[in-house]
Amino acid sequence: MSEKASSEKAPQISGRERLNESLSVSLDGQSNELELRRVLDGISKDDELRTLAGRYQLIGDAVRGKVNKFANVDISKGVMAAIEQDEVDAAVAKETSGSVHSAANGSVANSKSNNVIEGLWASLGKVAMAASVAVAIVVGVRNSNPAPDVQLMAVNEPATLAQPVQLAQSGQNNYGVSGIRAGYNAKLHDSITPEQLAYAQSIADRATRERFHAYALQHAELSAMGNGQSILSFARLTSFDNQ
Amino acid sequence: MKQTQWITGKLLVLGIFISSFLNAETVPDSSYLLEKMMDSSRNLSFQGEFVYQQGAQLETLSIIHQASDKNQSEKERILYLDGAPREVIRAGNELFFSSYNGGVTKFQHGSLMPVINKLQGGISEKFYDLKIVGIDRVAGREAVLLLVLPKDRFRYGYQLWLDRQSSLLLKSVMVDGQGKIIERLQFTSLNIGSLSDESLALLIRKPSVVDKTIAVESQPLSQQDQPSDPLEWETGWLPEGFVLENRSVRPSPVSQHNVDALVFSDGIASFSVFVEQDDTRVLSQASEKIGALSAVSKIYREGDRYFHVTVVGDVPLGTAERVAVSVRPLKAKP
Amino acid sequence: MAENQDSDQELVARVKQGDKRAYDVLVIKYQHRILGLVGGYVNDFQEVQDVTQEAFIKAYRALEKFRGDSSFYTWLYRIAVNTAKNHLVSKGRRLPESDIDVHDADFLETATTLRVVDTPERNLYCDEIEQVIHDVIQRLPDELRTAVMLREFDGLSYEEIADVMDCPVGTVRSRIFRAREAIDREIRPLLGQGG
Repeated sequence: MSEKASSEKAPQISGRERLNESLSVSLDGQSNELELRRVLDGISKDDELRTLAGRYQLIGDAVRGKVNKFANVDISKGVMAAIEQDEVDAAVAKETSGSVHSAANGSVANSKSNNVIEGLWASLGKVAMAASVAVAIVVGVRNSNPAPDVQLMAVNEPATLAQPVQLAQSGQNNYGVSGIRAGYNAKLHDSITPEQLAYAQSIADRATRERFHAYALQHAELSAMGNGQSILSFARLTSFDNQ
Repeated sequence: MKQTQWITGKLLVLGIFISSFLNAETVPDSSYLLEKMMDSSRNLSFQGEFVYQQGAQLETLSIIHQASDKNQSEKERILYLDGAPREVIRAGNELFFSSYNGGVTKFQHGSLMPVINKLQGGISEKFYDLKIVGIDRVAGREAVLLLVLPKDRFRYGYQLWLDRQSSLLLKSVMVDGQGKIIERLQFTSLNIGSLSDESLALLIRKPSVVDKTIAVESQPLSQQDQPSDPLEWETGWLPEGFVLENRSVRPSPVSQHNVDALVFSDGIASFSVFVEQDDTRVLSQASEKIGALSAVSKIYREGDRYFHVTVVGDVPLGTAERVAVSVRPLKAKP
Repeated sequence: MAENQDSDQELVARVKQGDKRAYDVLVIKYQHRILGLVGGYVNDFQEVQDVTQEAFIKAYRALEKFRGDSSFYTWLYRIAVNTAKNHLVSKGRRLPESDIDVHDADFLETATTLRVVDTPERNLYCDEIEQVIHDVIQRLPDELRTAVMLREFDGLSYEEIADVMDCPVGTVRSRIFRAREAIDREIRPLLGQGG
């Protein structure tokens, strides 16, 4: 048996393969400290390793006969983005509570809050790289349980968001969420912080994208059921589902 | 007008090479051809595979279509052969769209959708220049090449290759006002006529599980073009030649309300206008070009009520925007 | 179902030390089971995802309080059930009639899964994916198949598998990995993940 064991070890194992094996072992909870750390490093920046983890898990579910209709849903990025958002929010709250004292020292406060914004955009940016489904979920959950400040703005000041959102002109077939450009002008709204604006913007963008997606399907359906011209109508939906 | 000529030049390049094959006595009337194209796509049974290109994206799809007859309704199955599996099944007054990411959506119509303004022959000719420019071969079949050039900037231009026997669409190229190709569709194989048992079996295989059902209620217009149940809004502007094809009410896919859905067509291009009560209270206007489709969303306000307008269609973005902006609440006119 | 109780200990400990990335792995690991569980309460596809996400976020916030009396999964399961119930209540909907008490997650999970399978909640792809995976497993060399089945189906630890198969633990780990690799090659295209 020991002979066989050694022959089972491939003579040349690539770094990638070794990392994949570490992942397999980590999911079983049998990795050593060093291996686990490599896997965690990998998973946070390597999408391939993430999706592989998902598939390894799927294999287990299949063996146990427990694959369900959610097998192709991935909320993990959404959860992580929301957790990170939590921390940004906490930082913002801290910043706000300290702002009375820092009023005299505007520039310092400003640069601090810029950092926060950067952090916020960075976390949004991460989301943007993810599947659009994940984006929808992050913002969706936050939307259904909005922070008090945002709720206030959404209810009392609808007009503050009256400026157009220009989604990227996708001449180059770049339909990604990352292509969204901000069309808001924060200077017009002294009472609203850039964070709130950015956040409101992200809600609006998400809602818009969902809306267009949903109505493109409705339009295809209308064309098909109405005058029977379904070939082109449905072919045109390809850019949505297959990014 | 200059612009149109430019497109003509662009589109004619291909035409010139093959026009010498053109035999004058076999050339039917071009607007008749368009009508027959529409008609054949409904009333012939066929099966084939085609490629669809949008920007850098190229996809292969397959279609099985069964014409209606005494015993059965029209049926159709479109399958996306590349990437995530997606499928459209249309049978009588039901349509299923299954997508790997979004699950199965079922559209259930109370009855077959009535076509309100059946496009009359010749209508297209007022808004497009139609030119038969040659005979070509597509998917092993002889095809008539038809140029469809817009007379204004509210619609796109097309090259259409129609099957010489049946007028079925074999290939289509859509170009914008700058002559840039927006999309291309081309059959690689096509069989017209009775379907194999295997294909027939595929047509009746409906998804067993449905994630979302959308019950559609069509609103036929009476003879005087007066809606039986008047809308609360109107389109202030429509590009000339676009007529209301049908109108329905359905649950909104994005809110808890019902949405009015109107589809307009000029016989070649079409767009839909959706209007529903708005809950978002986020007054933003947005527009996007998604491949060949333009989409615009806009909110208007009437007293305390907000309405959300969405326009989607295969028309230039400017057209969709102008239509969306023109939508307004219907009030007693002065 | 026999899930190895200890297999998440290391990950949980790391999260408690402030390493969020370890939580990411836990989410990837359990999201589909929890989605399926929540799907037993909530009908809307999107809502199920929202509620599941909420449950994972709640669990993250409460992880400090998790003492390890049960497995992480059992604990997570309870949070998810509560989140789903609260969601229904907040929406003014009635709870499902055959509501279940939460004592043992593994037992209950089997029960809900059965229910899920009975009312055809599975979509077109589930069967196909499971079928392909089972087919590939059948074709695997004996030692790979046995190793992966003992791990995934019977929930044995690597040591236990080494005992059963009479081979070193290092061999177990490479066999399980190679089995997963072989299966993965077949399902990747099916899932539209080039990877």
